[in-house]
Amino acid sequence: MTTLAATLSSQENKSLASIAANLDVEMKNPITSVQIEALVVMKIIKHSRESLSGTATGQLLGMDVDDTLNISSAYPAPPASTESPEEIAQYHTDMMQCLREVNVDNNTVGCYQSAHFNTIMDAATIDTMYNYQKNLKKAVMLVYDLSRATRGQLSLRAYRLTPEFMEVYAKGKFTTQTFTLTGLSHKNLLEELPVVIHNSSMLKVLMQEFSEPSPIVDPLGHLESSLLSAQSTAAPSHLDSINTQALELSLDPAMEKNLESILDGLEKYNTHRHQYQYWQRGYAREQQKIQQYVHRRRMENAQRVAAGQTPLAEETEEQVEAKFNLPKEPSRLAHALATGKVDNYCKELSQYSGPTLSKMFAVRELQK
Amino acid sequence: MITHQSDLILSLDFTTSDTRLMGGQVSQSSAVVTVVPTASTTPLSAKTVIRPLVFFTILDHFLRRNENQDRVIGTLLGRLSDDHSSIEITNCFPVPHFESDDRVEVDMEHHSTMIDLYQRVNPNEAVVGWYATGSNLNSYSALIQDYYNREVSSGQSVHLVLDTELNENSLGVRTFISSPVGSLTKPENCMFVPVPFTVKYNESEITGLDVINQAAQNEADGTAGLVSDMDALEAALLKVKEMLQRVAQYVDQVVAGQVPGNNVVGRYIMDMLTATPKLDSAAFEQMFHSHLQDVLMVVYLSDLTRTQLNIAERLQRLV
Repeated sequence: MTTLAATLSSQENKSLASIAANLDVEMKNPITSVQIEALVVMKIIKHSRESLSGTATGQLLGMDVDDTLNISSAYPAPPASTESPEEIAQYHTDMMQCLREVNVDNNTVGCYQSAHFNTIMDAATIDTMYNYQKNLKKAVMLVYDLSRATRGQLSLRAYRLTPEFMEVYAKGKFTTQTFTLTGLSHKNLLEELPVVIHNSSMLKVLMQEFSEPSPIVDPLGHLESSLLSAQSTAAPSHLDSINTQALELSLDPAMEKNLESILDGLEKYNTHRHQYQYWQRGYAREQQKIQQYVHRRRMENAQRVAAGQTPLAEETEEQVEAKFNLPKEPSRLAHALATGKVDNYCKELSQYSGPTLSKMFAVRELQK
Repeated sequence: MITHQSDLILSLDFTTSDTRLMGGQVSQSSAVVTVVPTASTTPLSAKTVIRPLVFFTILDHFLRRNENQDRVIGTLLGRLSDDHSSIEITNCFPVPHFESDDRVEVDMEHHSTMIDLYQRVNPNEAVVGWYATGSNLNSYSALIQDYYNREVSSGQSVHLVLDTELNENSLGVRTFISSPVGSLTKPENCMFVPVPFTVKYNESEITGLDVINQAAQNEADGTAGLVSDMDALEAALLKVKEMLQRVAQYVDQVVAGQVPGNNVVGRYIMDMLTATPKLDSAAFEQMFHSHLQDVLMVVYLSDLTRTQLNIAERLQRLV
């Protein structure tokens, strides 16, 4: 069985050849959009739903064509809480080998993660993304928003770390200086790529079938079809049902949760701010001491020269600084992430408020 | 008839006479609709519930098949419902296999490795059966079915067939369970009994399918983007409007006597009308306004927070 070569039908071969011509082997061109197969969408939804307690993570497989990243498959990763990193690494190796045997693209192109309110601004996630992007230049992270899913909306976003941030992260220096010089802020740590969903022709057939009346009808379905046969309009189907979640009127729970997240985020932000201020004061104090010291030394030297003695050896700035313990600057990255988080929550909230207000006015009209 | 070659590959050989026998049985069984009770100890599950993901995976597997291979098979994962009345198929994965005129080989090492891997992610999913593409059952189906019967804990494996050649212009999804046939129970002798299936979606899957459906309707390249909150709401409202119009039109027709009234429909409409809570208009106004103020306040505060964050960010640049 293992001798089965990964050959494809001649037609697919031809299209592959044209794809190969467009393949960017040196990984020079940056990708500008992401195309996801419907299968991947369904897999992510399933996995995220099953692990509601924790975040679901997994790997994305596919390939890049021109400036588009095609994500053709995905598989879930075991929860990190129950297994050791070695076990998980072995899991990935085994899985990739098995998938290769059945001709799945065995080319890792990133990872996916489920998150509430679309927030991936935390150190662990950023680290994961960095590692992916360091090894695979075109890696992306797909974020599936759980809180939007409960509101009846599919939200899959593709994120990448910006090249500037990659450079800074590689150096591991997150000081005010580097942040100011590179112009980094919470806004340009990540870049978002547009996402489109793609169906194969077989899937079109499947969806067509889903849209047709099902052979086994429940009482309600019977009702609908009888209602419709009287009307002789479009046939009912599973997919014809309206998106009831989008019309959900109990708006408060989602908003409360969002507000709670904002408060949490703000608390963290304030901690970072206090740390930073504390550092600034300490730094200023030490700086003052250094200046006094340098000044004293200069005076002493001047006196010595005046008295005809040999002056003390000149000290470099580092030598002086080594004599004092300048406090270490707290990571500006953590601060930027906290800012980004709060910013994101606020954005989500104001985005959510639009439909909320429209729904409220709709209800008001209904009551009249 | 079944030999295990070095424990890795389940190799099934059989003679032409068996094939003929099987062929006859298969065509017979497709006519059988009633569920044949078996002597097995577990109650016979007569219903299957399939999650849409299963179809997606099977079709993807079919598109990635090897050259000169006209059908693919794989393992179905899922669980038995609590009352043993139905089997829910929640997931599946491909298994490489090889068919020739007189033998079929299934890569069992691959099968067991994948089961181990899948169970680490979701321990609730167990093997419940297998799938194959193609328009009909063929002579090897019974042998593979026999193997899966032993893999499944309840001893009753489900076989899902998906017609990828699109005969009869449909995917022709069918599910079967098997029951032994003949006085001598031989693995290659079994009867496939069709069982009804339903496709079940949960809320989050519906939202996903909605988008995928849009992509399917896009003739040009089969792609679709994602919609925003507002667009989703608009679409839902338009749909409600359309449905209301349909109902109104129907009611008008009944009233005018053009169409005979349907009692069930009438009762549903009554239920819906009474479901709207009757509120005092003044009380409602008050509720509405307090709520509106709350929402606007929250929005204002969140915008304010964002502005402050941006100012802080800029001030830090100056330092």
